[in-house]
Amino acid sequence: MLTSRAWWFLLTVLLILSAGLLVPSLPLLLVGLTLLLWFGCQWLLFLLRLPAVRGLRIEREVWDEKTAVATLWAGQTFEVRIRLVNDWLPSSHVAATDRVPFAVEHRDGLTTVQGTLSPRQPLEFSYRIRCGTAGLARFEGVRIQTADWQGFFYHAHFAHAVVVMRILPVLTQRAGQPASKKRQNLLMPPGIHRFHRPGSGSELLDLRDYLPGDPPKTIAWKVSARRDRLITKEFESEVPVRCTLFVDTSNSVRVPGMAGVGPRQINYGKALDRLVDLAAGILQASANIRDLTGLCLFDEQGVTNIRPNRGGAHLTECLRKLAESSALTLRLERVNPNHLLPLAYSFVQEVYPELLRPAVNAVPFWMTWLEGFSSYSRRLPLSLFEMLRRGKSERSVGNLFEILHRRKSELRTLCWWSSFWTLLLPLVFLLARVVFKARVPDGLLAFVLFFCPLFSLLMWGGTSAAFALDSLVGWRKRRRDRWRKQLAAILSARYGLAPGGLAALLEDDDAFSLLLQRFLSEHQIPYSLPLYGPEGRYLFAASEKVPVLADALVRAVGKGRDNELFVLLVDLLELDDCLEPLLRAVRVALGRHHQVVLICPWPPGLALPTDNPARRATATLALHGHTARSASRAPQAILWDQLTTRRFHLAYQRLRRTFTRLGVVVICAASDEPVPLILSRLERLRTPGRPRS
Amino acid sequence: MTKSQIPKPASPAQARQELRSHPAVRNYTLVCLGALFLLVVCLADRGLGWWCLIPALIGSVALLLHWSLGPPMVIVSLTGLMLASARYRRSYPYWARDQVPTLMDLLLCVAVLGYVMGHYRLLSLVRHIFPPDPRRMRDNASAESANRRSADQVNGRELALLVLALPLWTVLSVVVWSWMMDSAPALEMPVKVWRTLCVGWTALTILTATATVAGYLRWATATPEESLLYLQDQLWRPTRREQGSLNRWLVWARLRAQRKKENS
Repeated sequence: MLTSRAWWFLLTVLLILSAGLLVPSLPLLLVGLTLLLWFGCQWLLFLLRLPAVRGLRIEREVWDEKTAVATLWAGQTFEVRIRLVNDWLPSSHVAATDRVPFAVEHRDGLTTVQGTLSPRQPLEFSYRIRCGTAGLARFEGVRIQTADWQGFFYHAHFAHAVVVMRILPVLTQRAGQPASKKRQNLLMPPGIHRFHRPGSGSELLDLRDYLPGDPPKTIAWKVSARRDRLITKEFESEVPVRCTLFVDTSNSVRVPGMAGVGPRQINYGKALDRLVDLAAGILQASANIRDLTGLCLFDEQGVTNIRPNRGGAHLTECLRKLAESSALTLRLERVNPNHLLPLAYSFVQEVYPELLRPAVNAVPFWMTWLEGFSSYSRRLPLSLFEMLRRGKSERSVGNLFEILHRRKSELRTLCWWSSFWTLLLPLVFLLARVVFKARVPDGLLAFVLFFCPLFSLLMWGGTSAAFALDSLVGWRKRRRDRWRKQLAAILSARYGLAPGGLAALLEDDDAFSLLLQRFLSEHQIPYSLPLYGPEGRYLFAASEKVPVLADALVRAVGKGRDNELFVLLVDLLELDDCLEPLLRAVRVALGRHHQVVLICPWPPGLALPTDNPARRATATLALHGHTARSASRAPQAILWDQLTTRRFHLAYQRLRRTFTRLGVVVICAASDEPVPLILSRLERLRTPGRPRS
Repeated sequence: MTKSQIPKPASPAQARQELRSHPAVRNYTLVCLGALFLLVVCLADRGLGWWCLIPALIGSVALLLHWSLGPPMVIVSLTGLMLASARYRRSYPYWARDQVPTLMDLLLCVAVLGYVMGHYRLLSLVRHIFPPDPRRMRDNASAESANRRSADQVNGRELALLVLALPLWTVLSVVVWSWMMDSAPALEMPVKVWRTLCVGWTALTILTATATVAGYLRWATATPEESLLYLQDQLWRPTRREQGSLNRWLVWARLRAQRKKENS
């Protein structure tokens, strides 16, 4: 609470006061007393005013151009208005800083305001934000810093006022969208389309000879009279056209990458953003022409279904689900939590400073100096043999220090045990010889009497040296231990694991890492994880999603009627070995005369795959141009880029070949084609007399 | 507002120049200079000769360069000067009950307090009022401006209160001093030791009582999450070894099952 400025001042005041009292000197004593009294009263006043800061009320409103809103839209600009109300005594000097969510971009206006809070005069400020891609914007609250005018006393507090707002995807009128006007002047129920097959519609399709069993009301009497035989009328079918979107929300599309740019200059941070944008476009287009559209969001664990429907409420519901799924972040077991510790701790320091107070969440300094936390599940390979064979490598030495740091407690216990036995053994031998007259050889007795204390001394000496070494080189480890203990305590309390959760999270790295990811994800903090495992395997392929998608597709086919269009927005690149369940499901769908379209997300920043040799050459040139521009980059990095591009192109070609054999159109989601293409597919379904595929 | 109408942010040097010429900064600088002048007068009255300029010179340099250690340096120099002069002349009286502070003693208190208040408030305006965040030290300019108190916040009332507070605190210190003089030494202690103990214990008692009340209030207003954390910590500390051993075995069993599953 006291700043360094205050400590220095207090020290000099005590100096002048002591001098005044002990020398003694009346002027010095008076000066010292004056300063001390003034300082003490400032402190009391500051303490009295602190509840005003802790009990602040925060009123937040987000406005568009006209009114306050509860939902945001991607790519649009909004104004955030904040009002800080104090019902206590006037506060000291206060600086309030609103924490801008990561999902939005601060445009203009100040996010910080300074002043004094009094019941009559609330602090108000506003700033403008621009929403990025669809997702969630989480406003955590306002960070309050308060200090007296001299800067002697300081207190930081975070006033929590959590508001989570959905950022719905962009709704745009796309060129080439089918018109919603009727082509014939025949009113049909919404979403029902004429189908050029005999059915129970109202539009005449054909005339044919009467067959026994035909309803008499369909007989065309005038024509029958003319032809002198019974002729019956056939009518067109009137069918709904239903489209179900299967959107991949698995880990593979949540991997953050280089940003691509979408409509309204929205930066796509990951493939999922593009998929959500596409799904939103198709939903909107279908809603405009009143077609039934369903949504199925799936990942490795399961699916979330919204049955095909139409109407504004249905569209909003679908967009909300898409926004929520777009906010999902990477989740991975068995990842070293040390990757996430600095980020999470920094965030907690800023947003939950009250939970890091030593009074509630302490890590005594001796605990990190003398004990350390073992973290059982992250075992370190220490191959001494390899060290001896190949010489010291940096990693092996690092692991040695790490093990030394973690096993300090065991080392100490070992010392105590060795001391105990070195005292006991000579005693036992002496007792045996003197009291029980046992034959103990002199040599053995001398050996024990001499070597046991020596061994004990060596143990203690070695342990002390190890502790000293750790204290010299292990300050980062001590800091990491402190962070880990404090975060484990917070996570344990937050997710209902207390009271035993703290110890469990200290030992179990995997559980701790998962909870840490959950914590960051809930607060919408973007974080990165290592993409490749220790053995070089890509960790986010998410092959488990394929059977989940196949099941969902088969279920949708089972519930479907005629004229279904299944749009699979799924990342299947480099999953050739796992595609069999999905291929079976697609065959079932096609066998039931439905249509399937596969849209594959393309990593932003990579050259697009194309069939046209000229365009391919252009793309290659563009890629080379890109690499030439970045001439400062290392040749290995350029080569790596080219190899990656090549690998993705080959994977896409394999995928395309596999599905095209079945009659499924495969589209790359990086291009601008997908939405118009799907809409043209729907249009084909609506076209009278289309051939059955 | 069009793009051309948006005012461009001022450069750091320009902002610093503007800040120096702000009325609030100017007023506090004048307060400090006035206090230093008074300090020189008080010290000159004691017959210190040219030496009386030393604290004022230190204070002026600190004012010019915005040293945060300015007031402590002025106080230390003042103490040294007073002590040196008392020893040198050997005529400084031993203060006792019948000794009354002179006007110059009171003015000295006013001068020192005025300088301290003015200088620290000036530092809050031109340097920082909140301690700098070590995580944001890289971006020095923006961190400084974020931690600075806005000069526009200073009003005339604040300055008037400062000027009024100076004699008030001086009078209060005289009252405390006279209370100290009234208390007779106990246990046949030397007077100066007794009075030092009196001041020390009084200050400590007030400090402890205030800290206790503040701490109690902090606990009383703790959130459920804070209370849970505290309880969890209380349980964990004495049982951490046992809990650690149990959990180590549990993790070992889980990992073994996982390995078996992967191998099969």
